[in-house]
Amino acid sequence: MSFVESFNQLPDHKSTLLKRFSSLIAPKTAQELEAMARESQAITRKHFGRTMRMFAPLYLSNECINNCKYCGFSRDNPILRVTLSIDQVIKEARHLTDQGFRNILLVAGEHPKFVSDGYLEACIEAIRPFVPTIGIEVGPMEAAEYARMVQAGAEGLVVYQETYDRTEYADLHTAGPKKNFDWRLECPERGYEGGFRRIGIGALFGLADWRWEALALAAHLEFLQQRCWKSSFTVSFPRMRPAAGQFRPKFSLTDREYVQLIAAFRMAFPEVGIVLSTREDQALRDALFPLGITTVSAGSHTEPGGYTGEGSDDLHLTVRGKRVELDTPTSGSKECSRATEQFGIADTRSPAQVSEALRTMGLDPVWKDWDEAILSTARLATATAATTMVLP
Amino acid sequence: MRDALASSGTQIVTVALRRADLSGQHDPYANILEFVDREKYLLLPNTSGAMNAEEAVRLARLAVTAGLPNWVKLEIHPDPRYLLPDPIETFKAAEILVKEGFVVLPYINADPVLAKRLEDIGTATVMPLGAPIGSNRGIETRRQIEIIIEQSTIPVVVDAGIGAPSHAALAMEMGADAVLVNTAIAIAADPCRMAQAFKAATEAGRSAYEIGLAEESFSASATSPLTGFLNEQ
Repeated sequence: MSFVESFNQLPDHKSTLLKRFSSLIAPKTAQELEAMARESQAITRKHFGRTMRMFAPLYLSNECINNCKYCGFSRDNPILRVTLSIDQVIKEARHLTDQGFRNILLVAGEHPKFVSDGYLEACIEAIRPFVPTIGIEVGPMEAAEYARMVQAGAEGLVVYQETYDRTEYADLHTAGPKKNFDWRLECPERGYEGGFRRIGIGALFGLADWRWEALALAAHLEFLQQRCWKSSFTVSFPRMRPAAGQFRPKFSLTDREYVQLIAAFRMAFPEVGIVLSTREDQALRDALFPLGITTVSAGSHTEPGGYTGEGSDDLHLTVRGKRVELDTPTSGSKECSRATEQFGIADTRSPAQVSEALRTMGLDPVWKDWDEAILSTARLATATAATTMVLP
Repeated sequence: MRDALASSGTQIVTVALRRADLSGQHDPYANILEFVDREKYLLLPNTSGAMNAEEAVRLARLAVTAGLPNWVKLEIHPDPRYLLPDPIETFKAAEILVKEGFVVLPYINADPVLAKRLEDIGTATVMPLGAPIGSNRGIETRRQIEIIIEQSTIPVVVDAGIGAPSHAALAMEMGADAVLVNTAIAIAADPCRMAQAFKAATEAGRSAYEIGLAEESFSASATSPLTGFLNEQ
C-alpha cells in the first residue's frame, strides 16, 4: 500500500498521532502558543543538542517542461535559462565548500533533454570527491533511477508535494508530467526503495489552506516513518516568495501560524529534522532558529551559476518553450548576464554571518555530518592496506 | 566542551567519525578532533552513521588510516529515529574488527545473551543502553543490565539514556564499570557544572558499589519482634 491510499482517507481516518497533531494546529491563544514554542525548543535541544546543520542549494539548470503557476522556472515564462556544464558545477561547488559547506543540495528543473539522469550522475560524481554530503532536488524518478543517483554518491532526496490539495494542485500545474499528483506523492517511497538515507518532504505554503497542508504533511511523515524506517526525514515549510510569472497566492501563512506549525511538528515528531531556507528574512530566521529548526541554508542563490557567475556563456531566452538566442549574451546589461532565479531570497547574509549569528544565540553550526567513506568502497582499498600496516 | 571534559574527570572521549575530517588534512569546518586534547584523553572514534557491518568496518579502518587510535565504539543503528543498535550487524562487525586487532567497544541493547556472545569473540567491553540515545530516561533496562553485569567478565559501560546524575549513580551502584554521558551535559545551561555533578554522582555510585549496599527489603524489619510474647520454646 502506498501513501496514496492513506492520503485518500484523510481527514476522516486519523491515527492517534494525527488526532493529537490536529489539536496542535488548531487556533491557539498567545499564551498557548508561547507554551508550545517553549516545549518545541526544549524537545529540539533534547534530541539535537545545540547543533544546527548547514547546507546550501546549488542550482544546476532552470530549464523546465512543466508549467506551475507559482514557479519562476515554468516552461512558458520568458526567462533567461542555462544548464551548467560539469566544470561549471565543480566551480560552483568549490565556491560553496570554500565558504564552509560540506552539504550541498543539487537542484534542477524537470527537463529530460537538459537534465537527463546521465547528467545528474555526472554532476554528483564530479563533486563527490570534495563534498561529503550530496542531496538532490529534481524531477520525480522511478526507484531504479533513484538507485543510480545513490550509486553515483547522492544520499539525500528532497521532494516537496507543493500542495496536498488535489483541486488546487490540478489548477496550479497546467502542463507537463508534474500534473500527476499521485506520482509525485509516491516519490519519497520510491526514493527510499532506491536507497536514499535522508528524505526531505514539504509543502509550499500559500497554495492551499495551511492547516490542511500541515495535516497531510504530518500524515505523510507518519506513513514514511513506519514504512521507510531506515531513512531519516526532514520537513520544510517554504512560504511563497515573489518569482517570475507574478503569481499571487490565494492563501497565506502568517508568522504567528508559522511558529505554531514548527512547534506542532516538533511536538508530534521529536526526531524529525526541520529545515529553514533563506526564503525568510533575517529577523524572522533569527527568531525561528532556536524554536525547533535543525537544518538551515545560508547565502543561497536560486539561479544556475548564481555563486560564481558561471554559465553566462550559454544564457538564452525561452519563449513558450522555444530557445531564443540572445544577441549579446555576456555584454548586455547586468540583468541579462545571469540566469533568472527561481524565487527571490530574503535573508541575504553570508554563510559566515549566519554562522556567527547562530553562535551568538548559543547554537553550534555543524558543517560536516557525513562522510562519503560510509558508502563508498573507493577509499577502502587504500584504507585496508594501511590498516594492515598499523595493526599487526 | 573543553571545560566540561576537564570538570567531568572523564578518561575517554568518543567522537563521531562522520563529523571529523578523515582525509588526514586539516578542515576548519570539520575540526571536532582539535577540541579534544589527546594527551589527556583517550580518543574513541565511533561509527555513528553506519547502518550495517560493512559500513562500520570501513569507518573504523579509515579512522586508523587518519591517525586515530585503533579503539572503536561500534555503533550500528539503522533506525535514525530511536538509534537502537542492530544486534546482528553489530555482532558481524565486531567479529571482523576484533580479528583485525581493533579494541572493540560495542553499543548494544541490554541483551545478556548478546553481551556474552560478544565477550566470547573478544570485544573489550559491552555497552548496553539504559534507554534510547538522547532520551534522558535513565536506566529503563535495569533488570537486564543487572544480568549483564552479573555474568560479564569484561567491563560493562552503560551507554545511553543517562539524563541525570542520579541515573549515573544508579548504574555505578549496580556495578557498571563506567557510564557514557553526552546529551545531559551538552544541553545543560551550564555544561561545566553539570559535568562536575556527573563526576560526583559517578564516584559516589562506585564507592557505594565497592562498599556494598544494604539489601533492599519490601517489609519493615522491626527491631522488637511482634510475636515475641508467644515465647515459643
